[in-house]
Amino acid sequence: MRAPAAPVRSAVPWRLLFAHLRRAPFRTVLTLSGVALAIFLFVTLRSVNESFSTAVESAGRSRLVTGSAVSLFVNLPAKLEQEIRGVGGVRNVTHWTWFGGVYIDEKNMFARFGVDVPSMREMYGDLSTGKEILLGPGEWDAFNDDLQGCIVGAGLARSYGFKVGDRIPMKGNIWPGDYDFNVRGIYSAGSPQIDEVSMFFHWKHMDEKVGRRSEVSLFVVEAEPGFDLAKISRDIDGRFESSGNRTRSLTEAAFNQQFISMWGNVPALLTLIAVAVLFAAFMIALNTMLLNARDRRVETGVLKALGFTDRAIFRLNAAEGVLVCTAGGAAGAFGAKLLFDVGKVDAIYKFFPAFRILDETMAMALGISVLIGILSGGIPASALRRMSLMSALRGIG
Amino acid sequence: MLIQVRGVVKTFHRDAETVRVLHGVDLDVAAGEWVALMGPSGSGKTTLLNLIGGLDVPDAGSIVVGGEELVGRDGGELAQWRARHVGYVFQLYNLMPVLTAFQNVELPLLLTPLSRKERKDHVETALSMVGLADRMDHFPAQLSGGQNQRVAIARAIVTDPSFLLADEPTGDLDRKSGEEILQLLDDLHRRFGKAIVMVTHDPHAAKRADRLVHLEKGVIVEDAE
Repeated sequence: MRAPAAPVRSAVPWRLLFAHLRRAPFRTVLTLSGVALAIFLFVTLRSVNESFSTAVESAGRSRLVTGSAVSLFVNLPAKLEQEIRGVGGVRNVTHWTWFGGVYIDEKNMFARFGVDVPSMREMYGDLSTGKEILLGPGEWDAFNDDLQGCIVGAGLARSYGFKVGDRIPMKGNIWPGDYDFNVRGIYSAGSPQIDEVSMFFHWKHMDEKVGRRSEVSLFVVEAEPGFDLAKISRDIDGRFESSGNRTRSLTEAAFNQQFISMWGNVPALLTLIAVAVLFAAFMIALNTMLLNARDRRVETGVLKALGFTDRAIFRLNAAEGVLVCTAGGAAGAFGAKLLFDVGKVDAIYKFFPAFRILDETMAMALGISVLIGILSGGIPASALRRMSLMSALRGIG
Repeated sequence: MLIQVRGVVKTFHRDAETVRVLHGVDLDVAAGEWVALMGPSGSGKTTLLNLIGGLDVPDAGSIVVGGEELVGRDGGELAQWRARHVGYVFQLYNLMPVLTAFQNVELPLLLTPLSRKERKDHVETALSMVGLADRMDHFPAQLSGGQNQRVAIARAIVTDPSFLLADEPTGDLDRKSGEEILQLLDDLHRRFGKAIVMVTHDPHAAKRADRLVHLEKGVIVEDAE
């Protein structure tokens, strides 16, 4: 036999890594699944938290929301619109009114708003610069021209199977009466500020149905470029200060923040849960890797006896943790992305309309997976590295 | 002289207890010589074998193999030295259960700069020499004890080391398989002039060796041709 030429190089027997993973597939799959589940939850919870700040960050920079100073649930007379339009710096005004109502069954909960379609179209639709509510060709006109027309979000349409041309029966409660709305368009969101799980129809229609109550929930005020929102806000509220309809005007961001503050400490709680879940995943992975290391003491001794260096032993065992945890993390992160971004699971969008899985969250999830892998693989790998050859061969390290 | 052991002392510590296993042992092994180390349990023969193989380090003394002093080298240097010079055969084979016979034998070659094709040639040759060319794709669990020990010997010789160390190579085998293993070692010794240092309890196995060294309580009490 011909002698292999020196020099000896410091190699890592990588095939052992894959052989080990195949050897105990159940253990490998369980560990991988544990990490995948934890990362899935982390991505989901972080995205929920992100959705809170997205709602604030994506708010219109030039818009105010004017509502009753008494409560968000107290309506204002629709006629205030004209006065608001008269305030210096106001470019456009539209209004939204919470309809409530029941669609077939009370369990079918989704947001329904009566709106002034022409001004809404100018502020959010195809006549606006931002184009935050996107409809197909001709659908804005069809919606505008049909007093019983409505548009529904793409997510809502998926959930309930609504199509253009369908009729949606609705029983009014706050605005009593039996309604039949014609679906004139399925909108998608052109900005995170708009959700895709709401329904909009003509305020005029519901107002006529109840005998011209002429009330609206909120006015959305768009300012002329360059005008100070704070001043416009003060001017609007000052105008109604002494009336029976005192108003409170907030920037759209501050208005959204109001809703978020209703969640109280929930964002902090979600963060805590996410951290706890990640820690649990780390413990699961570490436990598995420690078991693996214990099973491989003699094997490690043999590798050292054959001439594999301590560094190679470390890399071999640490790599297993990194591989399993990274694969699990990738499965969890991309699973969440697939489920929510591609699969569009509407349950989550109902509660968190601005829910988005950001690239930053994905990168963080993968980074955490790698970190869990480095720690859970590195700790036992370090022990095997330090173990003396003789202890390892005897399996007593 | 291939191996020169001089004044080697080795002590083990177990909790508060200190056990001196070797008391200044001297031993020479010539190139191509087959030496059998015998003695009762705890006499220090396996410890001496491990020291010669660079698996462990003595507390005092000198071990020179092929002109190279082993004492004073760090773990990394010893690992490289072992990879180049030592073929080790364990009593319990110590094969990787997750690897096939071929892959087990190929392991030490991963530390060499050989190409995949060259490694394959070496492994096939080694497995042919131990009569297991037709069992290359079998895992250890699919082979008998004797066959596993043959794979272990193939792994020990595949790098063509300077010498072989065998720690009770037939200790876990039945008589017939043990005889086959001894015959294999004998062939390697005679055909390729491999020096072998073998620990054994079996006088029958020891008879195969050129020389018999008897240890008791950490000292050599008999050294006979």
